This record gives sequence, C-alpha cells and structure tokens, in this order.
Amino acid sequence: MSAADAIIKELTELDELLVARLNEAKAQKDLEDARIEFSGKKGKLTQILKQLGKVSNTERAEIGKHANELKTKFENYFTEHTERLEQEYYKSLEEEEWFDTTSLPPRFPNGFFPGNPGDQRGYIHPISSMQKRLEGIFTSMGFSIIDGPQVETDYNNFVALNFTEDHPAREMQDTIYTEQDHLLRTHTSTVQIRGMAKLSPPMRIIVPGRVFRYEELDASHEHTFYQMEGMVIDKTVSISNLLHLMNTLLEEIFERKVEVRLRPGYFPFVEPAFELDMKCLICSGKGCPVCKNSGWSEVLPCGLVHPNVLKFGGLDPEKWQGAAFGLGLNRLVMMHHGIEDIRLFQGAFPAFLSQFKKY
Amino acid sequence: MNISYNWINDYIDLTDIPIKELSDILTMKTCEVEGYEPFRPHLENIVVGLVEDVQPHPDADKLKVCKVSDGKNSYQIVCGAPNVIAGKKYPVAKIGATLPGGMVIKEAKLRGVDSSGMLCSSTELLLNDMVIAPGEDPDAGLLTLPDDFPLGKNLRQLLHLDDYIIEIDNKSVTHRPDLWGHFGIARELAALLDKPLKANPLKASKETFPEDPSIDKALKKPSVEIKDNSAIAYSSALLSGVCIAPSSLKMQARLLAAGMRPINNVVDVSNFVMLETAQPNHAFDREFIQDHIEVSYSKASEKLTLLDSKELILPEGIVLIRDGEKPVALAGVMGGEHTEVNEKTKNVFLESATFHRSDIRATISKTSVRTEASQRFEKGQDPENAVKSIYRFAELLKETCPDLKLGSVDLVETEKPKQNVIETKISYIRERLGDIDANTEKITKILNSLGMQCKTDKDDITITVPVYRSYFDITLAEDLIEEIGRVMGYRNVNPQPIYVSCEVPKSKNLVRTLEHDLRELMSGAYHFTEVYNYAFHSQSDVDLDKRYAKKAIRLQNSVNKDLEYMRISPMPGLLHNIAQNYKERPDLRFYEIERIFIPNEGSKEEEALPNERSFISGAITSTEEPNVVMTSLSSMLADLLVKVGLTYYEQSREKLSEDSFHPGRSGQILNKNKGNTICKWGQIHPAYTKKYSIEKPVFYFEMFIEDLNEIRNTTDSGYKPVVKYPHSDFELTVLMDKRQPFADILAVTSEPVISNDDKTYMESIDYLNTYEGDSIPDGKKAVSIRMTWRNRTRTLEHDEIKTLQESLISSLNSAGFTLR
Repeated sequence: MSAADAIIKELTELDELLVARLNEAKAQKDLEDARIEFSGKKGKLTQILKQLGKVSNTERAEIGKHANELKTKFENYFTEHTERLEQEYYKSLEEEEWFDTTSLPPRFPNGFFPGNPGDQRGYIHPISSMQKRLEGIFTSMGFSIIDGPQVETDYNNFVALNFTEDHPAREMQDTIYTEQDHLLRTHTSTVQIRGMAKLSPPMRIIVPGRVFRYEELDASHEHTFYQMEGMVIDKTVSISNLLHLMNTLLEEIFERKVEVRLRPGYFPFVEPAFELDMKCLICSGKGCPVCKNSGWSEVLPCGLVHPNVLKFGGLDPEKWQGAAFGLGLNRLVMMHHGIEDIRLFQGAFPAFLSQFKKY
Repeated sequence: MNISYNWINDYIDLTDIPIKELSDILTMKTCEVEGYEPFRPHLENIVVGLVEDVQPHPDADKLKVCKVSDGKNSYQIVCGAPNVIAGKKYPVAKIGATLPGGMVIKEAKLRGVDSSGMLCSSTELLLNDMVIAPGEDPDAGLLTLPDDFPLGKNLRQLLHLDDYIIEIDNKSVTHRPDLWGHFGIARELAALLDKPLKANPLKASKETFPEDPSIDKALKKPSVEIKDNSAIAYSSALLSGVCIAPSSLKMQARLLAAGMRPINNVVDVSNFVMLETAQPNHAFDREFIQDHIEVSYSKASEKLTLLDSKELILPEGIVLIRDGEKPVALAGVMGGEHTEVNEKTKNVFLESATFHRSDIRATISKTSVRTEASQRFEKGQDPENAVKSIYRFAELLKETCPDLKLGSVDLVETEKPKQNVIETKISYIRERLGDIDANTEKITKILNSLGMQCKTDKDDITITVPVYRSYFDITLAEDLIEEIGRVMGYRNVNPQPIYVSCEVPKSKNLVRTLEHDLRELMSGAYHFTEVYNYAFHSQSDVDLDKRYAKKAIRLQNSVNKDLEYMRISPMPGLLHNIAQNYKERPDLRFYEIERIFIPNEGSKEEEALPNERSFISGAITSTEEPNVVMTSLSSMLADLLVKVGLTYYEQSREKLSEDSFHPGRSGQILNKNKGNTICKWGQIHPAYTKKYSIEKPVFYFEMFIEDLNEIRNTTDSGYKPVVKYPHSDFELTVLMDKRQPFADILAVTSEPVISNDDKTYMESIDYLNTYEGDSIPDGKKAVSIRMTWRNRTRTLEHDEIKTLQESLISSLNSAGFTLR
C-alpha cells in the first residue's frame, strides 16, 4: 500500500469513527469534545494530514481535496447532531422538567422574589404615574375618564374634528394607516366625538392614551407617544373659563404658582385656537437655554370647541359651548424631571426606569 | 416660511418697531414666529475698495502687491487672484474682519511682503447666488464690483442684505392664505400697530400700467377655456419687449432673504410677485405655445416633463394647463420644461389663476410634487388677486425691460369672488371672550382695522368680511371672536372659574382604577418594573407567536420594517426587553399593561375596527433554580388574583398546552365560578426564547384586563364575624405517582366552605411540600398537605375530629392514594 493509500484509508476510518461517536452523544458537551478531538487544531484529522510530506505533489492535491470535503462533512455532522440533541431535549421537557402547575401555591410571602440580592424593588413607569396624578386632579374637578380605540376611523380622527377631505392641516399630522384603511389615531381628540356620544351635556371628560405619528425617531421625536385630551361642554364656556381651568391644572401639576399666556394657534377643531405658554420654571421668565431665551415654554394647545365639532357630536351649538385642550404626557414628564431623550420611554431601560419611585 | 424684515418695511414704516418687537407682536397676535436672525451678517465687515496700483511680488510669480484705497486710507494688500486690475473695485476684508468659516483677518507677511487685509472672491463671501456686476465673470477670481459702488461703504448695505429673516411656523398660518405674502403680513401689522400702509402692490391696475391691445393681434393672443369647473379664475395677458437680464440687486436680495434663488429678471419677478402678494403666476414663452389654452382634468396616463426635467406619468383627475390638447403645466404646482422662459425669450404669455384648493391638494398627494406655489394654492387664494398681480408683474418687469408692453388682461372665471357676511350679537361675542373690557365701539374698531365692515343695531352686528379673508378663513362668529380677542390681546382676558353643577364624574372608569391598582401591586408588592412597548410587531415576531388564530393587522406605511404589524400578542415585546437586558442583569422582572389588536370584520368602517384587548403581562429571568421561580410566580399570581377579587379557592389550576410554552412547566388559572381561563403562565418554551437569542429560562404570565375586571369585587367585603373557637388542623402526607397532578388530591378532598350554622366545615387546605428522596419508592413522590376544620359555634370534639380525619383518609385511599 502506498503512503497516499494509507492516508486515505486512515481518513475513511476517521469518518466512521466520528459517526459512531456522535451517534452516542447525549449532550452538547459530548459534541464539543468530539469536535476538539476530531477536527480541532491538534485533532486527529490534523495529525493524519501531517503525513502529507511523504506523498507526491499530484497525490497531495488529491488528498487535500478529499480532506477538505471531509472537513465540511464533519461540520455537517456537528450541525445535524446539535439539532438532534436539541429536538431530543425539547421532547424530554415534559417529562424531565416537570413542574406541577396544578398544585395549590404556597401563600406569597410578601417579601421579594428569589434571586440575586441587590436592587430588588419594582418601579412604575413615569408616564403611568403622571397619568394617574392628572386623572386624580381632573376627577377631583368632576371630570370623567374616557377611553377610546387606538386604531380609528378617518371620521373620528379627522372628518368629525372639522378636517375636511381637502384640509391642508391633514398634512400637519403624518398618519400611519393599516391595510384595512383604518388609521392609528394621531391625537386623543378622537374621543371628543365618542365622548359626546356617550355622555350627555353638561360634561367634563379627559382622555389619556397612546397616539401615533409617522415620524423618524430622535431625541425629541417619537412615533409613539402619550396624550391627555380634555373637554368641557356647558351652557356657556368662555376664554376666561379656559384660562382659569388651565391655570388651576398647571398649578396642581407643578405644585406652585405659575403664570400662563395664550397666543393664537391653529387647530381645525377649536375656534379660537390657542397655544398656551407657561412662564419658564427654570429661569422664572428671565430667559435661559431651556426656554430658548424666550422666558416662556410652550405647554399645551387648547381652544373653544368649534361649532362644527359640536354638531358632529350631536349637540346644538346654539345651546352648548365647549373648551378643549391637549396635554402631551411625554413632554410633561420630561419637563417635570428634566429628561433629555424621549426614546427612553419605550422599551426597557432599567437604568432609566429605576429612577422613578413614586410621586 | 421666511419673511424679510426690510421687505415688510417697504409697505409699512417699521422705524420704531425693532425686530424683537415685531416678532413678539406677530407671536402674540397672529402666528408663531420660530425665530429671527440677521441675514448674512458676515458682510458687515466687508467694504468697497479700489485697487490703485498693482505690482509684481518680488519673490512669487503668482502673487501681486496691490495698493488699495477705501476712500480714506490706503493699504498694501498681497493678492493671488489672476483678475486683479488697477482701477477696478473689489470687496476688501480689512484687519479685524471675520470671514464665513471664522477666519479673522490679521496683519500678515506673504513671502516677505506686508499685507494689511484681503481682497475677496464671491465664494469667500458666499455671494455666488447673486449677480453683482453683470458682464463680469464670477469665476475669474476676485469679485469685481460695479464702478459706481461708493468707496469704503459697507457691502452688506450696498447689496441690500442688511436685513433680518423672520421664520414663521407654516402650520400656524394654515388658515390664513392672506399671510403667505409679504404684503399680507404688512397689512396685518398695519391693523395691529394702527399704522398706515406706505405702498400697496395690489393697487396695480390699468391705471398704474396701461394695456396695449395692439400686441394681442401681433402676437396672436391664445384664447383661454376652463373645462369642467377645473379653475375658479384664469387671468392672462401677453407681454412683449421682454429681454432676459439679471434682476436689480434689491430684488435679488429680497428673494434671497425669503429663501429663493435669483435666476433672471422674468423668473425673479414671477417669484417676487408670489412672495409679495401670495398669488402664484406662471410665465410661458409665447413662441412655444399654440393658440388655445385649456384648463382641464387629466385623463389616464398622460405625460408631462416638468421644469426640473423630470418626466411625469400623470395620474388621472389632476388639473392641467393644456396647450390645445397637450399638457404644458401641472396647474398651480409647476410648469413644463418645453414652454419655459429661456435666454432668448422675447414675448411672454403670463398666467395668473385661482384653482380649487382640493384640486391642488390632490395633485400634491398624487404626484408628490410640492412647490412654493402649491403650498399657497392648497391654502386657498383670493381670486381678486389673479388680475391684479398681472399688472404688478408688468410694473416690476418694466424696471429691467424698458421696452416692455402689456397686452389686454383677460379674465375667465367660473365663479365671482365672494365676501362672507356674518350676523351675530355683541353680547355673544362678549360672552365667549369672557372677562375682558370689550364694548361695541372697541369691537367695531378692531374689525374695521382688519378690513371688515360692520353694521350694528342695538345688540345685533352684521359684519362683511373682505374677499381676502373670505376663503377658508373667516366664516363664523367664532372666527370673529378670535380676531377681536387676539387684537385686543389675550393677556387682557382675566381667568374666571367655570360654573358647573356640583356632581361627581358622570362615568366611572373602573378599568382605569383596576390598571392603576395592578401597577401598585406589581411594582409595590411583587417588585416588578413597568415597561412600555410599541404597538407593533416585526415579521419575525408574527411568525414566532402562532397562538392567535387571526393574522396580525399589517400597516400600509410602517415607520420601519421592524414595526410592520399591529401587536397581536403580549409576549414578543417582553421577550425583546429581556433579550436586551438579561446579560447585564440576570434577575429581571418586567410587566406591561397595554393593548393587543385583533382583526375584526364588518361592512362598515366603524364595525371593522380591530378588537382592542387590554392585557397585563410579565416576564422574569432569575439566577434561581427554575422550580423555585415557578413556585414563587405561582404564589404571586394566586395572591394577585385574591387581591383583585377571586379568593384562593375560587381559582382552579390546570396544565397548559400551548406551543409557545414549556410543555412541562406551564399552567393556566381558571375562574372556578365561570370556568374561563384568566391567566396563562409558566416558562416560555426554550425553542422560542432561543429565537430571541435568550439562553436562559424566561418565565411569563399574561391576563386580560376584561377578565380581571369581571372578578372585581367592590361591594362584598367578605367579612365574617370573628370566631371565638379554635380550629383544628391535620397534616398528612400522600404518596402518589411522580407525575400525578396535585389537582387529583383536590378532586378528592371537598372544597373549603364557610358555614355560619352549627356545622363543622373545612376551612382551608394548603399544600406544604413535595419530597422525592431516598425513602420514597421510584416513580413516586410524597406530597404533604394541611387541612383545617372549624365550627363557628363551639370547639370541636376529639371524636369528631377523628371521624373527619378518618373519612378523609378513607376517601384518599379509595381514590388510590397511599398515606405515609
């Protein structure tokens, strides 16, 4: 037998040996051991190929090719067997890792979950806390908390809020649509219409909830954020009333005297429409980087309910008047804590979330 | 939108209104000013210099030593530009001047020769966008200035660039088509400041620029036709004697300040008129259009190459300007390439039209082409401006084309301009304004200043709105309240509480209370951290969690492709949260309260809205043994359900068999009263967590808020009188098959009940522990339980207890259990 033939024979035997070995493997560890022993750097395959010095060049090329094929073959074995062990493991789960979930559980010890010591506390999301606080303030003033769907009709999100089909303001709010031609509500104002249908006037409602805009993510822009719409319907509602309500609300939120101002804004569902600014809490109106040196920070849009919206809500504008406002919860929480990046609200960032105890 | 302070000053005297005050007035009374800034302030330090003498540099072939005068002093400046010629004027940056990019000019020596300053090129001064000295090559090197520029003068002033740019938030003027031009803003300020107008470009007419109908014949004026009501008004005229040239420096500066680049006099005048009056127009080269102009809607698959050389296959139903049959412009948006004005243009056909804003919006959304013109047309236009701006165009073009003649100005219209008439009451206006000093006199004065005519009769007031505010702007009494309020100043409105009946909220949101209570429990008692996740799934999330029979709702325009579907499972969000954190923090407990979206069917839009189900779900990874975590989780869930309102024994526990869950370690909790599952829990299947690259057991639970709300018990506190007599307990250990569920024992022992009568009852049954060890036969386990009995009226007798125990043992025996 030539040297080359001898090597080929050894390789064939090695193949058979590995197959037998892998068939017996019971755990991932066995596969790893076999891999090191057979195709590792100092493994059997390498040892055999060391003899290549003894054969002629043409034979060497042929054996080299053969050895390479064998290497690939080995790799395939390992993958196959990893898969096999995994499947066997999954099949064994029911028997091997059985836990009686029908058992009456011991009484919860009111302590901590088992596991690492260290920070074992739990935290409520800062937006949830702010929402709860605002709900408390509004409930104390007789407001009802109403919810509405997040996937909405064009009618509730636009048409009934006085955005006609050709209204240029539709462009203001880049909208995400579902394949069924519904849309993800761009504001919680959708619930103005639902609220008017649900409750009879006079009424006071707030609508906290998640809203969506087609928006690229950056430190100050999110496609998913939280708002709280508010609406008051009564016999007479004036700009003075709206101003008073907003003033009260902001003083309750920030727990101090605040100074606000109204300036003209534009939203099709209110007329007149306002932007409400609050004297900057950081510099008390002197001008600082936070308020861009204006002394004022923009807090919320508001206005008196447009007569068309009252009509869409089934109310007679001759008899009823209204005011509405929209709070941005993310913005409010960011202002309250000085949070720099709006993206931290979505997803799990323990280093962020664990900074908020409770109010 | 950028507004030039100087441009406004052309129409109204702003000498005593500094930029800050102007910006504040607009912000507080009209629209949102996002900011203002000086325009090209770097030119402030650049002056006009005359090169009196040019000598070669002794040490460098390419450098020259120049003697430069600013009219007062003479400086030696070394210069490398090839086009420096003695006797010409150039911009000079003197010692101390700062160039764009921050370079400060200092005394210097260039190859041994002193140089005190710098002669500048247009690139160095960022002036490439202006034509300053016509006929001079702008790329030759230094910027050659006109000979008549006075020596030593500041270049920023000479070029009319000493201006401020005011940036207005477009959104805040969506409802004010009249403010989309500088004149409109000046007219608004005139009312706010109670000042007269210095000039009014909309007064342009036959009187200010006479027509010469003879050119209509000579140039064969095209006839105009509006088909299918596709435009409100179409005004047009021919202009002859056009010569293409650069615009005046002032016009170039105005356009630049407003954010448009000067091109040539015809294009510039066209843009200037739009930026001035808010009325867009379009100039066609007469030579390239036929004799009939038609405005009509597009048919399927017509084509047009636009000014920017893009060929567009036109969608059906958008308004076109046609030259005979052939489309030549996207009406109100952009002209076509073929008919545009060029270097050789002599005669122009000028269009100034008003379109339906819905048509222009349709064009924008169907073609995605947006321009300054379309931005104005989609807000709505004052149709009276169509004719006026043609005369204005001629007036302005005449400045650079001395031979300019205007033919007759024609108007084709499908409707007459309207003026809204609003009837309301002074008392209504005052009621809605609230606590502010507003009497009839003040109200009418403000309305008059805004161009409105008022007629009052006691409490009644009738207001006629000017045309320029009658379209999509002032239509209702509420709109007038805004006008009066903002001009008076909202700061003068005093707050006043709203008087409401003293009543509790009309509707109680029990779900919300429940959700907040759950948060207190989850975070406060069980030490989980609340997370928020998006309402979306990726394709792989959807492929993985197959527990839902219905297919997740897909979005038409998702923000990115990982957020393509509406969420249909509470699970993937938390798995992403765990995957992101578990390597750094091995003990994680997250929960989330949100909604999933289950597709619905229905013929009406409203009925077909998805079914939104609120859930609470949680996920755990731990450094503890899996079975320890399972036990804790099980206890926690039982505790949570008790606190919500389902007692310990109203919960029944079964195995769960769902693909996403570990087949051995998963279960469900049922509401025994109703028989429905209210909680699924256990370890997530390792094959599933592996797909999220989590190589550790993840434990999970999910519940739907509606199920929890159902078990809420707010009326029955469950209080029972305190019992004076002791209970009797009994512990026993049952030997059972290793895999036999505990539920089998519960099936034998009767349920705990409470009885008030003289009746002995089982008060509780508790699981204590399971033991599998040396002394236990193979395949068996020993399970210990404790039972307690009680009678509310007496202490239990010894015999009675014994009987109870024996009867329990015998029923366990007969069910096949051995006692140990």
